[in-house]
Amino acid sequence: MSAVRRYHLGLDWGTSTTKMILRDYEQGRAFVLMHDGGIPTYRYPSSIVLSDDRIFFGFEAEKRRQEAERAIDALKADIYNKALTHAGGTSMSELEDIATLYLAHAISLGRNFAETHAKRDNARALIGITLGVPAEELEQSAFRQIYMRMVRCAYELAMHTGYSPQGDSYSHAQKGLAWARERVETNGGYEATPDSYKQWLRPELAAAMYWGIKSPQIQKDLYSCIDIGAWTTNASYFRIHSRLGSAEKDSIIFFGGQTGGPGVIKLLTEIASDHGQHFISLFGHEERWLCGSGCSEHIDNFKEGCFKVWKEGFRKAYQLEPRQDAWDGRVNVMVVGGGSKIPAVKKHFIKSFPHSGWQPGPSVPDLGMPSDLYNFPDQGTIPRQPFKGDYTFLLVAYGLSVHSGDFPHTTLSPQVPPFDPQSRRPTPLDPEDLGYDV
Amino acid sequence: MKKIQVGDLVRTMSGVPRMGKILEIIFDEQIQETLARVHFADGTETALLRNLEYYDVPADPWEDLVRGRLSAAAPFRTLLTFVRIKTPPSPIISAFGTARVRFYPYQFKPLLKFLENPNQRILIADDVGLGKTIEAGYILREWRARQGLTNVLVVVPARLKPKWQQELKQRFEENFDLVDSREIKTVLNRVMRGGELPEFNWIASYETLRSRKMVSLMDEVRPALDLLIMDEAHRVRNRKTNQHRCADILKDCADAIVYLTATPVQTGIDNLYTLVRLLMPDTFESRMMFDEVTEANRPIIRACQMLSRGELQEAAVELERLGTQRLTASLMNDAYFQDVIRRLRTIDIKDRAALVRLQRDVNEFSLLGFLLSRTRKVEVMENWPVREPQNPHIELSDDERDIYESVRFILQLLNPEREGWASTLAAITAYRYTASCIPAAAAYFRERLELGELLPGTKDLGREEEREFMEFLRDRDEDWTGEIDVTTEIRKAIENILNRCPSLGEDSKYSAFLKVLNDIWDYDRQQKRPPRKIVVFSYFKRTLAYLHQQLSVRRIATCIIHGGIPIEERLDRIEQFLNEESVNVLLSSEVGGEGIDLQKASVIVNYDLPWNPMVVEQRIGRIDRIGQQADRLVIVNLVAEGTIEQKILLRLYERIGLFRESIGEMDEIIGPLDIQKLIVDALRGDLSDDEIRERVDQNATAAQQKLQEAKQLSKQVDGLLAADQAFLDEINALIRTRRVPDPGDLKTLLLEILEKKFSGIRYTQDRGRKPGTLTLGRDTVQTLGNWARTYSAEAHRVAQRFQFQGTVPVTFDADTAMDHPRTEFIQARHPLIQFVIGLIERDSAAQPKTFGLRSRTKKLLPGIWVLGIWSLTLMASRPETQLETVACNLKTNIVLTGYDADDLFVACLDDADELDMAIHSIQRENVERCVPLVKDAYSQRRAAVIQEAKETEERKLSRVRSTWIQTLTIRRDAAKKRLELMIQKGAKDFALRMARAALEKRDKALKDKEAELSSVSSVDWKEKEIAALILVIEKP
Repeated sequence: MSAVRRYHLGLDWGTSTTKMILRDYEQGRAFVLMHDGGIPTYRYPSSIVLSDDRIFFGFEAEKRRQEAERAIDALKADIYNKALTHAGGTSMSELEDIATLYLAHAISLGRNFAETHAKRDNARALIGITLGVPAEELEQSAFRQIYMRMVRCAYELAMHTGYSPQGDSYSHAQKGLAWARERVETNGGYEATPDSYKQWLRPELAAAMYWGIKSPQIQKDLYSCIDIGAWTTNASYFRIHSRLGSAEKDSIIFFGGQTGGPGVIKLLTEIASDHGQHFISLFGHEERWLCGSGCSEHIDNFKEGCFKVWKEGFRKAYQLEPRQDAWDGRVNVMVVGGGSKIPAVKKHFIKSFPHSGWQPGPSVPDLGMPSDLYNFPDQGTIPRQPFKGDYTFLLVAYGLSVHSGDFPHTTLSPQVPPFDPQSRRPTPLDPEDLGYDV
Repeated sequence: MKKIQVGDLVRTMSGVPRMGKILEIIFDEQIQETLARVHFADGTETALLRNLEYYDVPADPWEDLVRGRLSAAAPFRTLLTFVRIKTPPSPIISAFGTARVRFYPYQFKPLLKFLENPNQRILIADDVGLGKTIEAGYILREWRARQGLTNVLVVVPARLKPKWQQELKQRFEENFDLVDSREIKTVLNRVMRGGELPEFNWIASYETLRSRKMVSLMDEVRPALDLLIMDEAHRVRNRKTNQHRCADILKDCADAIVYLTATPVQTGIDNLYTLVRLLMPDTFESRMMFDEVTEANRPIIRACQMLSRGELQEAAVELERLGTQRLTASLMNDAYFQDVIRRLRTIDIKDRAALVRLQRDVNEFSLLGFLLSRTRKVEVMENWPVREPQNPHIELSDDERDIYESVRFILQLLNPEREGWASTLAAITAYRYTASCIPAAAAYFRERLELGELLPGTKDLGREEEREFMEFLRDRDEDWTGEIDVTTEIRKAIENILNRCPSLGEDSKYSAFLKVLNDIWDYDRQQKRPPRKIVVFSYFKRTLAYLHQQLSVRRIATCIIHGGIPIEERLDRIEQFLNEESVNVLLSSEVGGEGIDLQKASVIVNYDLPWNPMVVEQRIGRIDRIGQQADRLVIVNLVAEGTIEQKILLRLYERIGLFRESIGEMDEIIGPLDIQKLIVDALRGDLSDDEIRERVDQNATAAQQKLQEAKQLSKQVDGLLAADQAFLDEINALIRTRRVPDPGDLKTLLLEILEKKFSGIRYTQDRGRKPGTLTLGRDTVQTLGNWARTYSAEAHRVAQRFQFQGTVPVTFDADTAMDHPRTEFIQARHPLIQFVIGLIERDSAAQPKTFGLRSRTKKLLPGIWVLGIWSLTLMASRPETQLETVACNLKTNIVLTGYDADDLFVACLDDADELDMAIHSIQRENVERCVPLVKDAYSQRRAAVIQEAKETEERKLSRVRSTWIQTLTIRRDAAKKRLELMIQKGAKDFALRMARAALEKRDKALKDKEAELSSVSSVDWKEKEIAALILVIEKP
């Protein structure tokens, strides 16, 4: 069995669910990993429980939640908050251990899929992975180190030992973890060159834009993406361009943005409350409520709330862009997420612009699903149908499922030098110096 | 093995074969492998270095096939679309599916014949309404693509000039200029003075070309024409006329000639002979020769007809009759002819391929086959719609009748002898305004009175009126002033009109019109079907404007088109009428409706009746043509009781059956000027009612008789021409075997390549019969613009359109393009397709050639096949490329070629998706066994095809040789006989000397031709391996 088949696993570890996409480099396809949670789903719970000194993840954890001694939810957020404030250098002990074990478990799921797939061609699977990071602070060494430690140990455990901690005793799992850490340290430690860490870690923000960059519908230009999600609204500003001036879009610069404001849940809560109901009762009928005419006042407030986030994001991003004049009427607007389905909200973003007196730019149409996205095939045979389902929640995993060598060169907002407004007009920077096509 | 480095060209060793250039080599610490960043044709990507090989020689697709390195269905389709456009395996690729017309296979028949005819001459004599203009357009398009035409002249009757210009522009994107005698003379005089003949696409009228001065100028200059198209060519049949003389000169100037006519078939063999003689003067020098050919042709025609009915023995007997004809007696000694007869007697009727070939072979004996093309309505549409004329009763009110009489009175006050014909015509126009629509006429008179002028000047006339007036005046050598002295009597008459004019929307004709509309739509409601679309024709813009206004008051949506509306706007309105459910009335003048097919409408209202029956025919022809879905067409004529229109026009037109059937070229039977004179005489009060009736009846009886004769003659002539099944079969086979890419293929090709190479590409799908939209990003537009500048003016136009419009409405479907004239119609010749073809060519080395496909179809038995596809080009007198498919069954090793393998080829293109590679891995040894069988079968097939081509070439040459030798021998013998006769009669020395010189000349011509044709025929060929593939057929 000498043939090898190369895969890359995109691991979008979310606060409540984890999404995984396995890219088969041989056929150029991205497979959505589906899990059996009663019905097939790509949302694998991020839940972890400890029960009888055993550790369980995902659906197994959900099953045992009631009788578990300890349930760990929103681990991702805890890790993120601690990593931001952590001095770095050493482990954050227990939280980090549990998170690493969860990641090792998730990677082992991906590994199983890849090996099944490769086996049908009598080939051995070579699997690379990239983990999504919910921040742009990867340049900070301490922050990066914590994530590198987790992902590398998890990879070491899952790939090189074939081990999955699912259902194992927690103490045994910790031993495995210690072994993995030792191996990583023996092999050069956790610190890595930028080229190397970009292979392991990728900001979720950049990953989410990968399909946008890859889609033939998007051309090199300036964009703003307003993602009106369930809990918050996120506004980002970025430029897609080519470093070599060729037709190929190979670079993206983020100018930052803003997260906050209202999410769709807040709006639904308000509407439901008017009718004496809980917002959950509106699930499944959201469209009727949000697109109907009975709640226009709530929608107007919601719209304004989202717009404020966009405006604040604009203020921040604008400061980083030396070619400010070029923004007038040129910022292509993408409105995505659940809130974008409310016509009045979408229209508002398309017709207005956060900077008073400036023309709104063209709106980007729905890009549709990535053309290479497939369901993972049964028994590893070739899929007949592309992925069917709501792909919008998979775009981060999709953007993580490519090797760093295939991902556009990314400049995050902390890396963009702050711009002195005073010197802007007298000494404008040559756009070519900044790597833009003129 | 050479170590791979940055900058090397490499090829993937596993999976789909891809070629690219190494940009960077990196070590991946995760998987502990060396990766390379490679710039492939479809983008940059990392690949395992160990899976790359140095790429220096083109790969053997068969080796890849055995190794299971297969690409999928999409690149296969792209490759095959590219191949079929680049080296078309069809003689009609440039014309096929590239015009904004509905697709009818028979319309390609003349093109195929034209291409087959070594002299590139054809007479198209289809029935009216089958689209002769489109057939000529196809020839123009194909011939232009092949020959790069620089000078094309289209000659048509004056009234059809705008129609031709519009049709060529809208359907074929051909820009033609309408030229008059001044413009032609300017160019020809410049050439006479030593200047170069400029490039031109001209449309000129017979009326322009027939003047004596023009004919002699043409004769002197003899401008070189690449293509000459003459519509209604029967106009040149009278050899004593200048028109014939002009045609005689033009035929010598033109490399290729297309004559269009429906009438010579209707008016007899004599006229047909005149046209045929103009096309091939050497072959058909005498009427006797023509008769002999047509007589000899009859058994061939009958044999072809029998063959297409499957009566093979009877066809053989018919062919043997050729032995009794002087002209064809020699065939009985011809081995090939005998072989055809033998095949007719022995062939297996189930052998489809052999039958089609036999049909073609028999057709080759047809002596007129390639020169004439005729399609009859009954051949292409079983149930041609029935015309149902309706003449609702319209009784004018007393006031209206008074107005009508007042205008007639004005006319009577004018004396052509005193005021001149021009003034009289002005008064006639005023009268016709009134007959058309009294309120519109009154408004007009009121306006004129305020201006102090009473009757129209030239600037008030629409294009159609002006055109007719000018023609009329030219005939009388008059100048047009359009001014009439206002006498007291005339002023009184006009004031009377203005005082008694009915209120707007309340005149009798409009009320009758409204009732017609309501009756039609009420009936539709009862029948539970959508309201019919109605085209209302009027001669006058003011009438149309009046109807538009009044109908809008009643909330009936209308679209209005006439010559005063810019063409782009007109197209928008027509598009609206054709496609919007809420708009069911189109108000049109003659010019407005020219060149536009309105088959979606099934009702025509003649709000006024033109004085020329051909204009009426043209109006009805907008809806009564191929593609009409309704089984009956309603023709409503709004003519008031007791008016001259009713007494003369309606009566005459009804008698000659104008509203009931297409009757061809009426100018030949009853001229517009005859009718005009009769009406003017009647209006002026020179004729009593009885006299009017008598003259109408006389005209009608004469016309009816001629029409009756025409029908008889037409049947007679049909027996000489209708045997074109082989050509139709060829066209149908091209479609069935997918030798020409369909709209879906083109769409996939365009979008796949653009999306791969550029960004910012957005396409929204056509929905139903509505066009989609295409947006190209800035980079694409820029690259397209750069390419277009050096490619063609049309490409430049397209690039500009994308640059300025951003998002452009597009369609790949000819039907949609026809309904939406301003939509960019993307067909095989469209610049965008040519642009992507160029891009593919640039990367051709990196194109995959091995494929794995799976088809779920009921049409074929399940099985696994190894297929090879080759492109084989035969360079004979007519170069021809064929796509050859050879298939070998993996289990049984049965090998299929030709027609039988084509079914598998079609399955690959039609509904195949990709193959599960596991099947391949199981069958690898079997695949290996099939490959040499496929290659051997192809070699044998190639040898057979080349052998067949050599034989065909030899036959063609021998046919040309024998025709030439026969023709020249007959001429030489005639000269010899003449000389002998003169010697016998003791003719004078001068005459004998002339006769001897003639004999010498003809003898020399014969010898020269014999020497020229003695060279041996040869067929060179070249081939290209297109693809190797595995096709799995499964049950659906």
